[in-house]
This record gives sequence, C-alpha cells and structure tokens, in this order.
Amino acid sequence: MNPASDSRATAGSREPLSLLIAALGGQGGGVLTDWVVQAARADGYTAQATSTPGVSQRTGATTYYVEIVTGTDAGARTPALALMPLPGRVDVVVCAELLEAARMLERGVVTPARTTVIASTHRVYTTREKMERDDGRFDAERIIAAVRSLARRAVLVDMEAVRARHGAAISAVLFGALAGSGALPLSRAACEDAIRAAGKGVAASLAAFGDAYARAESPDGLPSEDPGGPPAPPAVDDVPLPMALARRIAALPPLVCEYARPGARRALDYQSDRYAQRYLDRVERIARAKVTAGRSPPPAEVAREAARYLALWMCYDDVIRVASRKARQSRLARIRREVAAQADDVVRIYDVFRPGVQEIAAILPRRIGAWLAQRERGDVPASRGGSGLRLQASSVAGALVLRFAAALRPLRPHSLRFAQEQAAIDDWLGVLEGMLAADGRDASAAALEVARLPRLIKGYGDTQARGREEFNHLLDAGRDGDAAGFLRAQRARRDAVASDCGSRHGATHASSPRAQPVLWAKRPPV
Amino acid sequence: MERSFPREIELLKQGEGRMFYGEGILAVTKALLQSGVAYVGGYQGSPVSQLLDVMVQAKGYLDTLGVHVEACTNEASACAMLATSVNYPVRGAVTWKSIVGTNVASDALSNLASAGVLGGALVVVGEDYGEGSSVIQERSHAFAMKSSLCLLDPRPELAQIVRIVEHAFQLSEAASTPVMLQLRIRACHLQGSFVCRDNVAPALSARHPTASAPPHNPGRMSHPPHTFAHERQKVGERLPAARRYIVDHGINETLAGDIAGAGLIVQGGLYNTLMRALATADLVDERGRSRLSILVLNATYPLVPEQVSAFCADKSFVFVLEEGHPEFIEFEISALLARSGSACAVRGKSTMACAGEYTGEALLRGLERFIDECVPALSCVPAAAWREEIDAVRARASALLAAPVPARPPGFCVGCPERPVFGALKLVERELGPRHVAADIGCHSFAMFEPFLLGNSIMGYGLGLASAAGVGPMSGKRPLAIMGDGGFWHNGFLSGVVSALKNGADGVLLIFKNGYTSATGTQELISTPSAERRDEAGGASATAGDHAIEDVLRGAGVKWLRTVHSYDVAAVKAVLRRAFTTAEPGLKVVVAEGECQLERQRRLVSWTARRLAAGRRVMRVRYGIDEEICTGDHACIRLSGCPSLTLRMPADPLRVDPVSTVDAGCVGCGLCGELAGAAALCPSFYRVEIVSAAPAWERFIARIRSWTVRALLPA
Repeated sequence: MNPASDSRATAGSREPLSLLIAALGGQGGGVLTDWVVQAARADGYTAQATSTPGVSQRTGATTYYVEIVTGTDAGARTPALALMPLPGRVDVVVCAELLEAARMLERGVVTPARTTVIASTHRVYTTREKMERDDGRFDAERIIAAVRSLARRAVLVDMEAVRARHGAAISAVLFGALAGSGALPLSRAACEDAIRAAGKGVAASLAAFGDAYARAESPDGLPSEDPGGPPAPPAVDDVPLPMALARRIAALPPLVCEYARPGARRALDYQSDRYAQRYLDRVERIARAKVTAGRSPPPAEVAREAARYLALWMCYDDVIRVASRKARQSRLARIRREVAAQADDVVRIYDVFRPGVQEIAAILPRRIGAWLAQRERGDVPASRGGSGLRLQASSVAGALVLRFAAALRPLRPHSLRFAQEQAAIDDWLGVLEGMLAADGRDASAAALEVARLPRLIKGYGDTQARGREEFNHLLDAGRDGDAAGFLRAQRARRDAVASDCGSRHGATHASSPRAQPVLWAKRPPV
Repeated sequence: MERSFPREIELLKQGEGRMFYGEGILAVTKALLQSGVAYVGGYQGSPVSQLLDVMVQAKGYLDTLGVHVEACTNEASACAMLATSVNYPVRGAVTWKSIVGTNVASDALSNLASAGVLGGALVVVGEDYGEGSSVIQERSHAFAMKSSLCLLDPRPELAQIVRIVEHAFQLSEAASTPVMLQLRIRACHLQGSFVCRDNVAPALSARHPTASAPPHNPGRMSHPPHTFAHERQKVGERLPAARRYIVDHGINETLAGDIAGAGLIVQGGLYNTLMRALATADLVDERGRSRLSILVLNATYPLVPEQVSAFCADKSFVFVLEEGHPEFIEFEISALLARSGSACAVRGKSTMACAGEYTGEALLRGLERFIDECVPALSCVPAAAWREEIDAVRARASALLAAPVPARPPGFCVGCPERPVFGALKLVERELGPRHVAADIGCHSFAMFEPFLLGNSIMGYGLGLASAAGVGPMSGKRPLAIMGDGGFWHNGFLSGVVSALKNGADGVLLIFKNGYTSATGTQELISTPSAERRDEAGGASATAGDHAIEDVLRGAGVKWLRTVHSYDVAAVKAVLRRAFTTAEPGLKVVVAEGECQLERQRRLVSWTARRLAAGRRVMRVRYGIDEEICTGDHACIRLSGCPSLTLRMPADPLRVDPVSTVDAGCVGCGLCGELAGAAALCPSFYRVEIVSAAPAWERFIARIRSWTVRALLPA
C-alpha cells in the first residue's frame, strides 16, 4: 500500500494521534495501554488513555483508547483530549485477536485515509462460533482480506505464535509491532524502558517485543506465521496400500481418488483388507452410477464427496476403535509433549469412558446385542447419571484393558451395530443413486447434498440420536429421486437452525416429541 | 482481592508539588485525602471499585492520618455512614456504582439530605452508563433532584476533577447539603496527571477522637415535625447557598466563541467529546477554542437561573447536550427561559438521539442538524462530509465481511466453579424439562449467554429468590432462584431467604459459595476464607471449610439444606434433581461450593513456586482430547463454554468439521472429565496428572510401569 517512508508518524502535530486497542478481557490490553502512555511521556509528549473494562474483563470484548499530542503551539490551550474514538479520526487500531479486528471494521473506526491496523491473525473463537454442531467459525480469510482492503496500512502477524515462542504475554508482542510499525512516533528506547519499569517477566517481554518490532518494520508487515499449536499426528498410519487396493483406486476418476485413497487406507486400518475392498466397491458403485447428461456439479464431484463421507461412516466409532486408537505408545508420548512434562516428571493419563449399555450392545453379536438394546430402551434417557469410568491408560492394568478391547476387532463384522450401519449405508447409497439418475436442474444440486448428508450423524447419546433423526428425515424426503422435495426439506432445516441459534440448541426440524417424565411435587399448605 | 495496589498507594502519599500520574478514580482518592477526609466507605462495583480497594489496602498509611475506612455490606450501609457528618464537623466520602448503588442507598440518602450536614459529605458515584456498562441505563441525576443534593459532573481532566472534589466538600459545608460527584466509566479509568498538594490529617478523627457525645439536637433528625422544616430549608436556604457557592467559585465555565446568536450548554463530563466533535465539524479556531460559545456545567444540579439566563441573553438558540433520558436539564432550562420571557429557543433531544450514550459520533451528527436548522450562516459541509465518509466505510466493511461479527459477551473464566453447576442444570433440564430460572447479579448472570442460555429475569443484586416469590405459586414446576454469596450478603438473605421462610414458600434456591464478590474484583466477604485457611488449602478449594452461609440459613430455619462441591457434576445434578422433585415442602437451598478460580490461581502460583523451590512434590492437572476420537459435534462445548475448550481443524484430510481441543490455558478444573461422564459425551477426553519433584520411590514405580506398558502397546 503506502511506502514505508510515508507511513512513519512524525512528531510536532497539534492534532492528537489516536490509538484504539481492541482486546479480550484478560489479554493484557490495560498493560499495553500503560506502556504506550509511559513511552509517550518519556518521549516528551502529552498522553491520555482510558478504557471501559468492567465485567468484560471476564473474557468479553473490550477496548482501550489513547491520545498522544506530539507538539503544542505557544499560546494555544492544551487541546481537550477525547475519551472515546471518533470513527474517521483514528490513526492506529491494535487488535489482540482477529475477530476483534473485524469488529473494529464493522464499527467504522478503520478508514482507508487514515488508519493503520496492527492485528494478530490468530483466532480465539466466541462461544457462539464454537457451539455449532457443524462449523460455526467466522471466515478468517475474509477478515484478513477486509482489513487489507479497508486499512491505510495493515500489519498482520500471528502474535499468539510469537508470544508462545518467547513465553511472554501477547501485550508485549502487540507493543513491539506497534513500535516497529512506526505508526506512532515512539522511540524504541522509551518503549523498552516502559517494559523494564513494569518489572515482571522483563526478559521474555523484551524478546517478544524485539521479535515483533522487526516483523512490523517491513512496510506491509510480514505474512502471518503458521497457525500455532503442535502439528497434529497423521490420522492413519502411513503404511503403503496393498497392490490390489492401489490398482482399484488408480482406476477411479482423479477427483474421486483424493478421498478414496485415504478412505481405503482408513477402512483397512479400521477392519481388514476385505473391508477396504467393500469400501471401494461402494465408491465404484457411485462413481460409475448411471447419470443424466450435462450435470453441474459433475458426477465426479458427487462421487468424491460420497467417498469422503462413506469412509467416515464405514469407520464409525465403537469401543473397539476407541480402544485401538488409545492403546498406542505414540499417543502416550504425544501427550507427554503436549503437557510440556519434564524428563523427571511422573505423568499419569486417565481416559474418561462411559460405555453405556447401548455402546456395549453395539459390539455384541447381533442377537444378544439386540436383546440387550431392546431391554434398555424406553424410559431411561440417554444422558442419565453416573460419572463414568476412569481408566489409567498409562498403567499396566489400563493398557491391558485397552489392548483387550482393541483385540475384539475380528468380531466386529458379527456385531449388532455393524449390521445396522451397513444397512443404513446401503440405504443412503441407494437414495444417492436415485438422485444421480433423476432428471431436472435440482437433481444435480440435490445429489451433492445427499452425498454430504452423513455429516449430520455424529456424536454420542442424544446428539447422535438427534442427528440420525434429521438424517432419516432428509433422506426420506429425497427418496425416488425427489430432488425438489429434498431441497425443500433441507431449506426448512437450515431455517430451523438459523432461528434456533439465538434460543436453545434443540431439534432442528419438527421432530416427534420425546417422552418426558411427569413429576408431582406437593404444594405447601396455604 | 483481584489486584494489589502497592504503586497506587505510594501515589496517594505524594506531597505538595509532586506530579501524579494515574487513573481518574485514584485521583479522586488522592483528592479526598488532600481535602482532609476523616472517614471513607462504600460498596465495590465497576467503575469505582478501585477507590475503595486502594483505601482498604492502604490501611497502614491511612491509620497514620486517622482516616477510617469501611468496606460496607451494601450501599445503604455505606450511605448511612455519612450520618457522621450530620452531627460532627468532619468530612466523609462514600462511593458506589450507580444507578444500582444509588437505588440501594436511596433510603439513607433521602434521610441524610433531609437532615442536612455539618461537615462535608460526598458521594462519589460511578455513572455506569453507555459502552462497558453492566447495569440498567438510568440517570443518577433524578436522585439529586428529588433529594435536593448538589450534583457535580466535572470536565474529564484530572486537575479539573481534583479541583472539583476539593470544592465539593466546601460546597457541601456552605450549603449544609450532601454532594454527589458523578464520574462516567471512561473518566474513572482516565490516565492523566495533576500536581499534588499535601494530604491533610483531619482534626477530629480516629486518631483524635471526640471526648463527648454531641448535644441532642432534634432538628438534625429526619422525623416529623422537623422533616417539614427540612423541606423549607432545602428550598429557602440550602439550594440558594449552593447556587451562590457555584457562582462565586466559578464551578461552571463560560467559554466565549466568535459566532453570535447560538450557543451550547453541556454537562462537564461530555466536554472533551464535544470538543472533538466541534474540531471535526471545523468549528474550532486555530488556537483550539470553540467558535460557538459554551456553558460548561460542572455542577449539573442545582442550575443557577441567573447564570443560564445571562448565557442565553444574546442568543436566539441554545443547544443543550445532556446525556441520557429524561432530559431534566433541558426541561429546567426551557422552563426558566420561558418564565423569564427570554426569546432564546432551546434545542436538545429534539435534535439529538433521545436514548443512548453521547459518543463523538452522536454529538457530531447532532451538531450538524443543529447548525443546519439554527445557524444557517455556518457551513455544515465538514460534518456532512464526515458523516458520508463514515456511512460509506461502514457499508463497505459490512459488504467485505459478509456477515455480522459474532458478539463476544463476558463469560465464565477458565476453570470457573459456576460453569459445572450450570452444566449440571442443563442436564437436569434435559430430564425434567425447562423451568423458570430467577437469575441474579454476579458472574452467574453470564449463564444467560451461550452456551447455557438460562434465566428468565434479573431484578437486582441479591434479589434472585425474592423475584421468584410470585412465580412459584403459579408454576407447575418449582422455580429455581440463583444467588451468589456476594448477593446473599448484600441483601439476599433478608429480602429472599427470610421472606421465603416467613411466607412458607416452596422453591429452590441455588447459592454459589465462591468466597468473594468475584464479578467486582474478588473483594472479601464475611464468609471469605481466612488467610490461614487459604494457605492450608494449597491447590484445593479454600471455601469448603467456611460455613457462615449454612449457619445463617440453619439459624433462620431452613430445613432442607445441601452443600455440594460444584465440580462434582453428577452430585450437583443429583442434588438439584432431588430439590426439584422432593415432596418435602418449604424452601430448599443448594449451596454449590467451589472457590473462585481467579483467587485459587493467584494463590497457586506462589504456592507451587514455594513448594518446587523447597523440592517438594507438586501435581498439576491438564485435560486433553484425542483428535481422532473426537466426533466434532461440539456437544462438550454446548455444556461447558470454557474458554480453553476450543476448536481446531483435524489433520485427517477426510474430516470436514473442526474438532474440540483443550488449549494451554487449561487449569485442570476437571469439568471436562465430569461432563464426559455425566452427559455421556464421546470418549475422547483424557486427564493428565503431571507430578514434578516426585519422590524417588514414585519415580521408580513410574519407570517400571512405563517399561511394561510400552511392551504391551503397539507403536
């Protein structure tokens, strides 16, 4: 955007420079404000700051506001410094988190003519975003693009990653980026003195300050760092696929391969070579399904999505899978790293299980499982009491139990749930085939949505039950290639989700009412 | 207490000529000492908590001056303290959050105002209005008018605030009237500077007590027949004396501008924001002075009719800038100009937005309309250009962001002991269906936001149970009333518990025993665990051993009383279920005990460091989630909402939705594990115990175990 020479603020103006800091309660916005004020005063300027913390100190969004006068004319009154930002008159906006930057844009305080934005690109999700059953996260790329488009200059760095590297607070990183950007005429020495005067964690703060200072000095800020957090372990062990499977995958359309390859590997790891073959049978069934001509999106895209959800569904979670994932040396080592345990520390890992009757019934042979499940169904809610089972995975007995459960794998194909899931999967694939074969403009769109439908099935207990109910409701609407009916039902569900957001997370379509116990409480004598 | 103030206390000790750099509310505190105050009281609450917190922590120094400090149980008891100045020639000050605190104090405030004062009496109210406010939006101004108090609203500049505080005591003595000093949120947190004066030790004080009781003077008691005389004195003597003082000492400021025919009358507290708006509208001269004349009301009640008339005499229009509803000042100015037959017309709420904070933007938009209508000779082009620019920028931002930015309301801290109780309540709701929840003021109010979305009403601090009194008899399900220990001691025990017992009410009260008034900054209560008990508790909850609340409840006659540790979700669930369904009549009280995590963590930091330094065993606990096992349905988040329980994208290319993850902020409170059990969540959660400085035998056993486990498990 603007060349660096133009973006460095210079002292001597009588109009105050204004700085708005947007942060979350507890992020140290107050500390940063104090540092800025002290540094400005040390450099001989008049500075005033204020804030509105209150209860937003408890993790809510809050702002701090600073005005700095760098020069005064002889004889003029000391200008009255404002206590709140006026949109269009804000020189620098510092954001300790990316969504807060979006909030500042929304409020109109970032103007292309004037405002430098210094923001961390990391996200601290709001509860509203986190609690969605699917993915409720605000689009971060969109925020970054909007900041770049609306700010006079944008310095965007993953300050959380820088903070973590130095073991400092994020306020020190923000301060470094602010000073390094040159958006305020603060001398580096004055800033560092302010940090030293605070007297707490000085070395770490100075290191973080210096790191961010260097990053922000470049005219447009450096590209953001990799998102924080240790890299996640690969989900499926990196064993080469058997030749027979690899050949079948290679014969699929390239688009489909993208998910069919990890899908087949997952099925192999989950059960057996035969099961992986069965997975590919099903993928081929969709990839080679009879379709009406000239469809958009193309059928390969539908098959690709189907290959993805099919893999996830076929490798459904049961006690056997959970135990086999948990009973691994690599896991114990990973957890030790995650909690930053020292070599001498004793680390104990407890897994919280609560295998309910339904989960036990699921892995039992079909008849026995069905009998047990039937016996338990009815008036006992899925979420009734009990505090679960704590199993120490890091103990000998715990490891033995997990190994035993994982060793039940060969019995899985005879289990109750296995039979139920295979039937449900084939039912879904049947509906999908019907949709692919159907005519009309809606059918293409509907096919893709049907392929993605298993996204609804996840979780345990009530969540799982509700998801299944919605899945079946939508699947029924799409039977016999009824694309219009399916899309209508899906729209109704979306509307229900949207209207449900502000109230309670309950059923999202007109589901049948569930049994509620009636309880009688005696009234006191009047 | 959440913060300690060693630096601030040193600032309070500064003498003549030294420069003070600090917050507005601390400047007021310093000004009290410079004014020779003999006693200080109050009740905590943003934005004035710091006044009292600093004073409480500065006890050692204040004792040397003879200043008595009292952290009162509520605002009524704080206000009643000012009775000291009714009979003795001593200065006193109290503070609280307004409007709510003034509401609570208003009985004492009326009686105090009626009797009048001998020594200066000052009430410092934090006007919790506008952005950052946590209470209902009302004005303290109404109280000043109805009780004939003087109300000061100084320009937000530290030297001016200090000057006004010092005047406030003299004004109070000159007019025999208590004075209220109103500071907005941003003025309280204003970082600025002023030149100090020496602190004054009061002549009559805790160090120099009076030898004799005051003479019996029934005229100083608020009781008929004297109340009739008091009313006459207010109108006939006290308010006129106050007006004389305001004029004689230049409390209000008249700033002459070069534009004739129109002027502005503004509350002092809005002055700086107004100046910024005027500068943006290009209405200040090259020396930074307003081109429109301004009457700055640092005293907003009583107004001085002569002063207002004189200001308006040569003007056709005057624009009254008065924040909040209703527009008392505008009404009064309109009336007094009409009575005096003035030709000056008043503009105010007709031109401004009737409700809401007077931000720079609101003032600028209002100024544009005022100039357009009343001062056509002036150009409103700069203001209009600004408005168009901002409207365009906002429209562009909305288009670029494509969706409204999700709100981020305050919420429970990481590891908060209240979260598990609301999680348990949600689980009970799943079984028994939703019921009426009478919420209260405190951190627990946050249950109204995601993910809990619980609560049907908030009637005020400590009034949770009282607000359910009418609901119970007409509800098929017993309502649940909520109270924190802060609210319980503030008034909830009397207004709620005693009233329910007296009336034989059948309901359920849930009390959070966290040990502190946490929302306001963890100030101490009568039931706060002692320092020794906190020290002994180490990593455990220190509140378990204090039974003050239970003792009081039993003493009053509560028969059904259960105390449960709040992190034990299954137990909380069972107790709540029992309270809702038991056939036993009467009030059922559940005390959920769990120490405020902020206080526990503060203590743990030094406790852990001390133990590790001494080479003693320390265990910390963290929770984690196995990414491959997490199903990504976020059911755990919907029951918890813990900030450290968050989302990340799994490495698995097949997965579509983010999975839950526990970040490094986890304090190991145990809720994740409890919920996974009690709510039948997915088995992805694990608990990790990390033992540092473990004794040799423990490390030895761990090593053997680790070898064996490694041999048992695949890579």
